Amino acid sequence: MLLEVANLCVSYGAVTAVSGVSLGVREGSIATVLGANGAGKSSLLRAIMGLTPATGEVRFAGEAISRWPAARRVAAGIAMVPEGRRILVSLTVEENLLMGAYPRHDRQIAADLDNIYDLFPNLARRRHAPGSVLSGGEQQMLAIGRAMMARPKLLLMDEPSLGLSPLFVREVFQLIRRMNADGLSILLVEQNTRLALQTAADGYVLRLGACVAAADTATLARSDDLMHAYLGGAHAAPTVHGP
Amino acid sequence: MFAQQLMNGLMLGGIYALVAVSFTLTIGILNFLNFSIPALFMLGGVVSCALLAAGVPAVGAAAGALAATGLASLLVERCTFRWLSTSDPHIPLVSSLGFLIFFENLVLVYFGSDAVGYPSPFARASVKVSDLTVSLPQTGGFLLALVLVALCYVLLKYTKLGRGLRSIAESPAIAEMLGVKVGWTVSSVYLVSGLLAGIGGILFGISYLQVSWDMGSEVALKGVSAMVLGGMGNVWGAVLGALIIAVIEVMTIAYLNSEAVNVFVYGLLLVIIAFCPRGLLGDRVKMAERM
Ligand SMILES: Nc1ncnc2c1ncn2[C@@H]1O[C@H](COP(=O)(O)OP(=O)(O)OP(=O)(O)O)[C@@H](O)[C@H]1O
Ligand SMILES: [Mg+2]
Repeated sequence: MLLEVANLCVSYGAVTAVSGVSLGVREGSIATVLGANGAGKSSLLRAIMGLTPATGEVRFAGEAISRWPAARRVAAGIAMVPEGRRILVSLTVEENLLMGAYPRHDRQIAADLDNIYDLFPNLARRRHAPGSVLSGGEQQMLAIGRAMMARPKLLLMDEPSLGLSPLFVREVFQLIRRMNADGLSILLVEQNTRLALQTAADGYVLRLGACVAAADTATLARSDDLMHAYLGGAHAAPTVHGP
Repeated sequence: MFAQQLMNGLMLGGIYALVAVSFTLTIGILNFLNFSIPALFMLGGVVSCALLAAGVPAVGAAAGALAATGLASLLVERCTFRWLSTSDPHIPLVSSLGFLIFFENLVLVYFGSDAVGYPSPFARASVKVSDLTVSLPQTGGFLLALVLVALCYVLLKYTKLGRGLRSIAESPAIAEMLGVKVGWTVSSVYLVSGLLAGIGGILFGISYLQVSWDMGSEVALKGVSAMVLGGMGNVWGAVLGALIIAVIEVMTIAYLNSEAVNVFVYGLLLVIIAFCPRGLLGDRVKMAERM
């Protein structure tokens, strides 16, 4: 296991957002966390990143990191594409990408920047424009590129398809598969249950902050009851064995 | 005569500019009006004065004064910015005001209420250029102020630390997610801001040959006005505002009436703000974008 989370709890004052969640991400695999609005998915990712106070155990690459500040976790190889993209609109596209490499001190940063530009020609064209001029889809590409600039071992993605056109959603998921094929481990939070189950190997279902199901995605996809009960029927598709 | 006054005004403007940029950094990056800056300015002047008077060589006196202002600024940070995120935003404001009064009165107790002569090692060195008297320490101080402001600009605009600072200006949460050590970086803002004010205080002593416990208040008021006049959060705006205010101040004293100085300076400020509320170099863009 690259990432192991045991008995993680997050609360905001009196509100408990995550209560006793345990999960794991195998090295080189994609795991997905599913759940309705307010189930605690973002809180879970933010706690793994060290951005919100939490109790419980987080182990990354064999080390107990629960007490590490976020900067140290980034340096150790965890990066995040946050919900709503959250690019820095007052910085240029290139500065956003360079911010992704903030904890790095090696000499490969310029080369990695070129690779990102090869991957996203739209970003290359606007490298000196402020982040605010990008479209929603381009902002998502920038958020992903920014995370890749950290050279992570594990990427936490919070609803990367949110608010994107179907075309961009397809592109984002292709990218996720490609990055995974290159060896990146990914923990994916998604409301698009069908796509997430097709893309990930392992799945966890959160409900009101607790983990109510954990299984490989093929098994999860077959349990219609579960999908209907916790995720709402609309998202759960009976046939999942797509491309 | 006019050229002489203009030059005197610009020299004074250099000192105002350091204070204005000192304010601008904490406002622009941390969105925090640090009321303790006048005290840091004063500490720079008074501590270097005391060290010089005690026979410490000039370099040592300057280093000692900057160490004092730097430490004082970090002390203020401990008790202000750390509370910003977790409490009522007025508490850090009041807390920094408390530091201003505390430091000023600490110095009042030790040095007394009278202005003290500044034993400048450069004294009154000056050269004559046709009928202009050019004070060498003032000119040096003015150039140093411009160089420091330019360095601040380059730091913010072109360095990794500068990108981190601008990220914090936009969103401390995102900066943290990207691996910026936000606490450490915020301390560096306070340190740089405090050192600029402290250097301003030393230059004030060297230029006007006296320091006092309340020397910061008047200068800081001009510094804040310069910042607002130039456009909040904009380093070059702060410099422009500082030069304009200082020149008007000196011209008013020379040609009108020294009693009327603040009527003119602040009257003009209010007129410009009325027509141009975002300052001369300000626009509708967010502060961070301009830095
Ligand atoms: N900063 C906060 N302060 C207080 N309560 C919060 C905060 N952030 C989240 N919550 C609450 O915690 C619970 C879980 O929120 P969270 O954002 O983790 O859910 P989510 O599964 O990501 O939801 P969504 O699908 O809408 O993104 C919700 O009840 C939410 O209202
Ligand atoms: Mg969420």
